[in-house]
Amino acid sequence: MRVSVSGIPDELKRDCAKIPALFYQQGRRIIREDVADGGKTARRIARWKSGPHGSAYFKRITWDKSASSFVGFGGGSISGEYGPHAGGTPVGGGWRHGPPNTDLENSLDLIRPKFHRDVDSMLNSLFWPGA
Amino acid sequence: MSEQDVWLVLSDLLTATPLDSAVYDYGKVPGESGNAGQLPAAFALLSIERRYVAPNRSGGTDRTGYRVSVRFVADTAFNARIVGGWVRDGLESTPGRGKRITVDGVESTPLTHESTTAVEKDEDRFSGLVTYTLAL
Repeated sequence: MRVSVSGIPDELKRDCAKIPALFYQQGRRIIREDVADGGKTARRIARWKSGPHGSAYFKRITWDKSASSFVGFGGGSISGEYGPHAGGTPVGGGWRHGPPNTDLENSLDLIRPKFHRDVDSMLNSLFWPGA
Repeated sequence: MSEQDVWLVLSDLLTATPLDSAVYDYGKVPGESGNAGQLPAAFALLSIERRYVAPNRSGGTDRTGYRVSVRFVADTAFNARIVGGWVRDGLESTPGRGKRITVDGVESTPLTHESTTAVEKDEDRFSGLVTYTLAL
């Protein structure tokens, strides 16, 4: 009886070699999409929660249109931001003006589970393609 | 159980610090908005809101999430930072480890720090803001 194993170490090696490039490509896509989703969610929350004096505030919330990445010194990061842009008339806040504006925190509550799931499934698919 | 019950338990934690009874609702600060009394030198404003918790597969959640925000106010920036330290000591048993509260017999998850805004000039006072989350 004989057991013969052939070809598998080469395929494994080939798939593993693709991982860095796929990680970079898919990671940037996830950041770009989830930052846009987070920004849109924050805008929607700011709009329906606004009182008479903040009715245009939601328009200030913007988000990065593409993910920015920094690679160097043996590692790197991919990042994106959303939130109100600086400048303009100050809105709300302060001890005389009532409870703080939690629009961004509320949007984080909604986007955080989605972001975690997206990253998890991307990492799984890198090591188990097609699974 | 309502947010009012949670508010009362949390204000008890804050009144046990050097803040003493100077823990108020927005609009209820003495010497302000037609309230009797004199504006205190240092005080804290507490507010609670319920927050979204992702439901499980059956469409419900086992716990209710809350967001707690405390605005700490004092007459100078130096004092405001000290009052911020009192708030932190009132809500965290050791630095970084939030206390657990019991409301209507239900014990909460530890208060988790979410965000802090640096002390800044706030009209005629100085104030900073800290938010925590917890689940009951």
